[in-house]
Amino acid sequence: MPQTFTPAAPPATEPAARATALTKVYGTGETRVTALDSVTVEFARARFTAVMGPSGSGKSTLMHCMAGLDPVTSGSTRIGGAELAELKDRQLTRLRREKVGFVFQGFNLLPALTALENMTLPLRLAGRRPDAAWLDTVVATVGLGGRLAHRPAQLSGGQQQRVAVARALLSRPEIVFADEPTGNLDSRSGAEVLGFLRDSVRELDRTVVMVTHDPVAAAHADRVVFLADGRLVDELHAPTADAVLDRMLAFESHGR
Amino acid sequence: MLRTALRHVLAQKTRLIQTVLAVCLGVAFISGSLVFADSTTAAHRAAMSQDYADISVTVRPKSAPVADADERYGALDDALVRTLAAVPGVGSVRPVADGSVTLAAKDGTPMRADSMRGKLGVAYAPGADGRDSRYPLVSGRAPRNGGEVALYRGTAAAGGYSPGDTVTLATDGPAFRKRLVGTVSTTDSRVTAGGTLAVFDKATAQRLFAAPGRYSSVDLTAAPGTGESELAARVAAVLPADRAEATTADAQATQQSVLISTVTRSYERLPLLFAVVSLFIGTFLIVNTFTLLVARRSREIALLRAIGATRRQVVRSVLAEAALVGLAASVLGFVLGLGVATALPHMLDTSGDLLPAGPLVIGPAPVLASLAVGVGVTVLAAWLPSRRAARGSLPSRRCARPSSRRPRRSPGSAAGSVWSRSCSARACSSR
Repeated sequence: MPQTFTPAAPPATEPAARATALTKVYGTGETRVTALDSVTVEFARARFTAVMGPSGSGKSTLMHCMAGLDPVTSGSTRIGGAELAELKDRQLTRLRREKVGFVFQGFNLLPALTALENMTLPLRLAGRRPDAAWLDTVVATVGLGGRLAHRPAQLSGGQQQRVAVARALLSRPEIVFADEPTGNLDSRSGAEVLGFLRDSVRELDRTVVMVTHDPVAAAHADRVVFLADGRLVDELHAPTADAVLDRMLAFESHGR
Repeated sequence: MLRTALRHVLAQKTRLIQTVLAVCLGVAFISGSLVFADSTTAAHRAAMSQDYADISVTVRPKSAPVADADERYGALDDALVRTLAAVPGVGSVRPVADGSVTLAAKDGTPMRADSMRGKLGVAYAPGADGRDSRYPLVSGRAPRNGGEVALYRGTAAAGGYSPGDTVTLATDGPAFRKRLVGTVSTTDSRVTAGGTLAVFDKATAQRLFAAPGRYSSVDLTAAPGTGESELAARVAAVLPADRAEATTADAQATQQSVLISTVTRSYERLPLLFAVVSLFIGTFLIVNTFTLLVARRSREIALLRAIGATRRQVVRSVLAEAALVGLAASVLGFVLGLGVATALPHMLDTSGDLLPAGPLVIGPAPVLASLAVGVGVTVLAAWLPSRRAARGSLPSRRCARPSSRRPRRSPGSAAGSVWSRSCSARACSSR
């Protein structure tokens, strides 16, 4: 398949994704809402980064803009060296298909397809066959060996999210964006899914960015960045749940 | 993608029923009327070839406008019949005196008053055995003089006549009465298709339809080994060129075919109108159904787009779904259409023209037309919703999400209202 954008193997120092002075405004006039206000952030390769913030802080918008799902108002967003604003819809679609993996909160899988078909869907959309060895590795990592022929309705919420994680990893994307991937799960299933996300970073060398408002979830990451009112306000390396919670509480008291 | 589309179709069975019904009905009327027209034409052809089975060449007066019947039919007399019989290659000669005669039923109402055709009056022309093979007697006897008439048995039954009754008839002059002495059968398709037939003795028929001692036409059969056109050429040589002409049965059959297909086309018109109406309504149903399906699947389509489906792939998956639905509906519709084709002759009976019976003729054209129209209309109607699906998916995706979330703990929070406001604003601007 000919590639129209050229992410010519970026240097090791180049982050997997980067936003520079990213601003996103919804609406005009009275309904004008600034969701992101000049955010500059980098997501390093083979790292697990959590984006935290209260509801409405712009963390989902940040993810959607950085993944090319939403056009930005101003500023720059790059994935693996490709400037998203310069891409046409088709190129953007191809970039999402080949360079980005997604895990959403609730609706992740097509109900009509089996777990395996859901996992390989991005590859099939690209007209490619999954690499058998890699498929085995990913399936083994997320522990879904016996459930590949099941439909989503026959899987538990945790299993569904694991299928989504497997799908996100299968195309060996530059970066995986996970939007509240544990939001609908009980704490045990949530911990499992977070474990797989972290394993995929540690063992499979993937890059994961996870949006969450749960300090426990954020504690699985290597690094946490904090958003409030559309601005990047803080970050934390090698976080613990308590440390994250402390920061959150600090913002709450400052904000009021 | 096709397998995905198939699974979606199966998952949406109930919702697709009205679409399937609409397309199915439209296709049924199309295939029904086409199959019906083909079958009717085939049956007419078959009946006609039977009419002309024992005729090779017909001699008629030249169709120049001549006022006087004596003048017009002057050439076709017994002397000409004898001349024709002597032409080499002529097998048999049958002088014919026939024309149009309107019968009144027993209650006085004219039969087939609305039709110009199929009101036949003929001469009884007994052969060597004293019988006329074209009009075999069913009951009674043949008419022997100007006061007697025989009727086709169907005509007698339809008019309510039984032998011994007085029948009222009219040609282009004043009405006259004759006594019914017998009934006959015939294979003439004009009569078996619902026409009437009155059989007179030769002298009466000549007087009514030609002129005394003259014939309206002369039918010739070729002797074995003589071709129709060859015979026509030989016959033409002995005819008074300005007053009579010879036509082959082939040419006559072709002429009749043209006439018949005009009639059959008019039978097609009503069902085709139904088809157009039901497909027109169907188009709206399809657009509605697919708009609904696409809206219900907006999250799914958004997901597809997010994980790398191009707009074209989304459009294609919706269209593939539509094509599958259209195909299923068309096949159903075609089968239903065979029922329509079978039922149509009964529905059209009121016109007075019975349609010749015959098997259903299913040619490739009705099959292809039905499938093309059924699938085509469905896919075309689904095209707009599919475009909308592919275009609107990314922004609407996020608007669809809050409803799927658990309720927020602080309902009055600014974030909640910001979220819904930004969504509605975008919904407006994206329109």
